[in-house]
Amino acid sequence: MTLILAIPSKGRLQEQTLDYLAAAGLSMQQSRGARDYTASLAGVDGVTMSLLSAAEIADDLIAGKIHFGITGEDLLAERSAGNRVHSVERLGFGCANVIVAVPRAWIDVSTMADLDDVAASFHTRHHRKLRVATKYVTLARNFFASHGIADYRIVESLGATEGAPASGTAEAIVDITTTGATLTANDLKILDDGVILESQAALTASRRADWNAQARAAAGALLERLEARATAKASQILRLERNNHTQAAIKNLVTSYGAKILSDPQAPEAAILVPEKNLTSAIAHLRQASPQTAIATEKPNQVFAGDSRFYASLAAALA
Amino acid sequence: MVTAAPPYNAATIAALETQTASLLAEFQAYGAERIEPAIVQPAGAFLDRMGEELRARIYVFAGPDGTELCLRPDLTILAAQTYLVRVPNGDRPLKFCYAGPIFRHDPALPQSSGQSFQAGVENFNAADSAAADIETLLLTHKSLVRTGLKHSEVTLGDVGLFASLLDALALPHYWRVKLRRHVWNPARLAELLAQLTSPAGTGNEFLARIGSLTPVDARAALEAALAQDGIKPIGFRTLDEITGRLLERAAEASTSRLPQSTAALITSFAAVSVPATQAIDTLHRLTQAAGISIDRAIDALKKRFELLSNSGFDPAKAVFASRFGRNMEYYTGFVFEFRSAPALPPVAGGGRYDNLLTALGAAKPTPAIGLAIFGERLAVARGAVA
Repeated sequence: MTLILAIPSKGRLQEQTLDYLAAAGLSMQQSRGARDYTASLAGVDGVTMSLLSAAEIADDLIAGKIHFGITGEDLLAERSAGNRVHSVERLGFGCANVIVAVPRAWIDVSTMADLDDVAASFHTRHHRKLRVATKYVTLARNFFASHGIADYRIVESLGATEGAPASGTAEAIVDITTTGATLTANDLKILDDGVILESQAALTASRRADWNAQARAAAGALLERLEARATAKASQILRLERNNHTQAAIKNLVTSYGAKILSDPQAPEAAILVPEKNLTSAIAHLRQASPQTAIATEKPNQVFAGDSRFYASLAAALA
Repeated sequence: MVTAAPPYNAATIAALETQTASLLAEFQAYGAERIEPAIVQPAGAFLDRMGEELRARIYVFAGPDGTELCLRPDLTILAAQTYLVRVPNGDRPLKFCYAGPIFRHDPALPQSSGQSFQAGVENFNAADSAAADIETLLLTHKSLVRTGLKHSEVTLGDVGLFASLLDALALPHYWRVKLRRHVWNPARLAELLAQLTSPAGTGNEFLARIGSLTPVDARAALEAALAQDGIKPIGFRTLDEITGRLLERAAEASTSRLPQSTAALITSFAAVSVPATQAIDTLHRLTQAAGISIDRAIDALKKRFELLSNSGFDPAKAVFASRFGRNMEYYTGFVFEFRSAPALPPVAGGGRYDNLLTALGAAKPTPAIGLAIFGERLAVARGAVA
């Protein structure tokens, strides 16, 4: 059995996913055209790609029907995926927050504690519970419980949740938002402490899938490519002349700045891989040692550092 | 999560059936009429009465016409609905008993079967509440003994006591309702008391502006402020409600804060957990030291303890805990719970729920008390099944 990697079947999330794979030198090959829902992955052997809706990907990861999936963390959290899945890499796209919003006209309400008061008095006054429209039933329920709010009812909403308060089908909502513009357009506001989850797309592994030797081998090869790209994104290459002034400073970069030397130790030019987060301090350190030496930076495309961090953490999660 | 049916073999089924038969015999000897509500029920009544948190624990699904249905998670509400059908004008007492499966998922135990056997009695409209409370507790004990349970320990509580304490403290209304809502959670109660004893925040600037206005003028100011910011009022919560809460908040900001001594009293009161024989003295001592009287509520509890000890039941075996029972759904008064050992979950529980029938649409207040015995736990405690 080959390794199954599921990606979103349409939309912006699919585009961003394909860009992410392409940056790692991987491309989807649909043999029977764009209407096909399985594909192969050029660049790594033994991987079958499956094109599914983001929600199905979350379901299938939990059920163990697929090995890897790229989908929103919100969908996994809503299904209480917990330790049934293992997050390999947060991908930095598909960013959105799951939030609690109420009408802007409620100027007396800015926190969950305010909402607790209003829920109780709404019940007394209107002889029914305050309604919260959402498709995130589990996330909403757990969040309200963590704030001690019990006097409310959830109304399941499968689309246009932000319109529920204006149309009178709910008083408040729990929904996903990126910029908040849709909320404002619907006369809603986010509560100060009403951010339930900061979600983004993530490469996630199922811990329940059939992780046979073949699947593990393909996973190792796939993760090596993806890790090479992730490491590249978090790194810079510094190039400079190796001389009496810089020699000691270059060694210090390895011991104290997480750097790796790419060039031959005898070569007159040193190429050093430096973590992006240490770049500024690493350059300062070199310049202090040798103010006259020119330093150039360069962004790598892929860095195969031989760490196998992704695969090691997956193997640990599967153990 | 898909849950498997309980792996009951023939011996387990036989043990549970024998146990159920002896419980029902005891309940019927007490004068309770057997009822058997349907297993599939509309979900609304349960979610309305027991709260949205229950949704995590019950099996909800859509019926053929789209209505929200569930597998019955509880039989008390169904017995109460049966009473309302049988005695619409609520003019006579009636006792029901039942035995059968209930369906609840325990999110903490995802591998649990999600169903269990429950047997119980619900007693509606009994004239003497104190007598009915103790009768129900004794019936529970007698039924447990009849099935062969050798040893049990009982915990008692009274959900009404805390409400009486808050009334006696003459707290502002909005503090009182908030404290009542959160008393069962020690961490949240502590947080709330800290908030009520610390200096009031200034609130927002709008609050400061309208604090001294009459309700009519405050509402006009609110309307003007919303119009100026281009905010449309939406939904069923009216501008009067918003104004009302703003004025309440403004009043709260100018009220003196909750005295530390009162907060300490509430904390110690909620923490009382003593042998039942010491409960009345402990409650008296706490309230007297604070210079308040909730003697009526304490006397009501004392009367129950006296009835209990007159019955020959040894109250030395019982523990009174003032926080016990408050997080238990719809209870309003006397509550109790039996365990076969302190570390094990209860084998039976019960309590008074005087507001449930009104909430379900009763024409007039209808007092009620009930008990429930948890079949599998009892069978395990008796050693009848492994």
